[in-house]
Amino acid sequence: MKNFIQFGIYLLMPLFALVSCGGDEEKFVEKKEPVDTLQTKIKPDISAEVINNIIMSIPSPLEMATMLKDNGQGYDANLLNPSTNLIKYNTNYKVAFNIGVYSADLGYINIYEKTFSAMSYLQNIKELGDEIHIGQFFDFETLKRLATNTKNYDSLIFISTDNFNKMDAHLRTQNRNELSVLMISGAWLEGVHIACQVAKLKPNKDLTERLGFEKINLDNILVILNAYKNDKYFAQIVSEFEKLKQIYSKIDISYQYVEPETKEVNGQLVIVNKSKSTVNITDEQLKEIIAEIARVRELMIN
Amino acid sequence: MKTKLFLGFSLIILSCYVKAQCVSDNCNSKLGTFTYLKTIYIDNTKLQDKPNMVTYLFSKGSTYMVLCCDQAIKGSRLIVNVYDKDKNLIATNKLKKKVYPSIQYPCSATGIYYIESFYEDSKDPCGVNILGFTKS
Repeated sequence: MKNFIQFGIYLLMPLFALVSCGGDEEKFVEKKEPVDTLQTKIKPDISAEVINNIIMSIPSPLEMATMLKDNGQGYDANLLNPSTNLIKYNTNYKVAFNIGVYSADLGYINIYEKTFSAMSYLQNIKELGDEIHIGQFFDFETLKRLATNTKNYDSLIFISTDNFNKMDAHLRTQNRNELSVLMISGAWLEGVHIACQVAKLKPNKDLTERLGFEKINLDNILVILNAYKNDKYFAQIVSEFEKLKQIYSKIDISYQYVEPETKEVNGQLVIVNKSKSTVNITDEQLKEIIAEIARVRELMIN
Repeated sequence: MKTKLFLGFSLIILSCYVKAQCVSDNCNSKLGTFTYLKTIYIDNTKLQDKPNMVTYLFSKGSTYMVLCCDQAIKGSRLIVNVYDKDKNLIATNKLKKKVYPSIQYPCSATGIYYIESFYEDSKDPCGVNILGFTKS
């Protein structure tokens, strides 16, 4: 009998190990994610690897918001998608796109440390995330706690960015890349929209250049949107973004490589970079971009 | 019996710890004043065939940091190379046989860059790269 119990314990050990060794991903499974009924039937005409690579390459809207703040631009809540628009997002595609939009807004709010404004945006992202079964990756309770204290904005930025990345990664591992593509496109459009509105009121050289370089991101986003253009919703977005591309097609970007130098500074490796890139963008082209971005964004958030 | 049980459970806890290291991205705290952007997961199972390669758009006026969160336990070294769009080598964390835990790259040319990661000695590789940025 004793041997039988011992054998039973040894038999159960691997099972215990499997249960106890779960990392973060397994913990989410314990929360009983609803059965995913949103599997796509749209087949992209480029590989998942290419789509993943492009999604990874699109910069976080945090970078644009940081640039605006560092250039001395003040915070303007009127530039954001009103949180009351939430009820308008009644399809999975609209939900995914506007998770991206609201996430870019949240990034802008966080960079300016306006944590009191963050609450309704956190709530919206959580609600929209739940709609497409990725809400479990958005740690709403922790973020809500951090948002109540302005001293926590570093953690707020880190966790909200990390949560966005996890939602995006989960969609891609579940072969729901098309929702991931929409999230990234929404975040990009909102980030550029905020910068455009600032440039409209207070134009400056750095910002104009930065908006000119967005040509690279737009081209990449169009590649992944085009992959799903057989779907009506995607076809509409592609059609709108193509109009923006036409304006950008007149803008030239050049790159000159110069071999960099490397040096050690305080034990850290620092690269001294001498390569250069330039963008030729006129005031008229900037005006056209601002107007077109505003038009497309208005269409997408309503 | 008690000793066997103790040893068994100790092994389980130890194996959990080792596994947890590989999935951990807690080294983002080493970013310091840099703002966290992305975690670049390295699919170690594919490293035998080709290095892990991701792309990212770096913007001039920003300084980027690539943190190498190398948690291999058998002396493997995580090497990171950054290439420009034409595949010119821009930055590496290996300089004269010394491997550094991070690279700081003040970007002077906006464009797509390739971030390549691989283990110099692929015995039990384990790690992630963390990408952060700050204004130059």
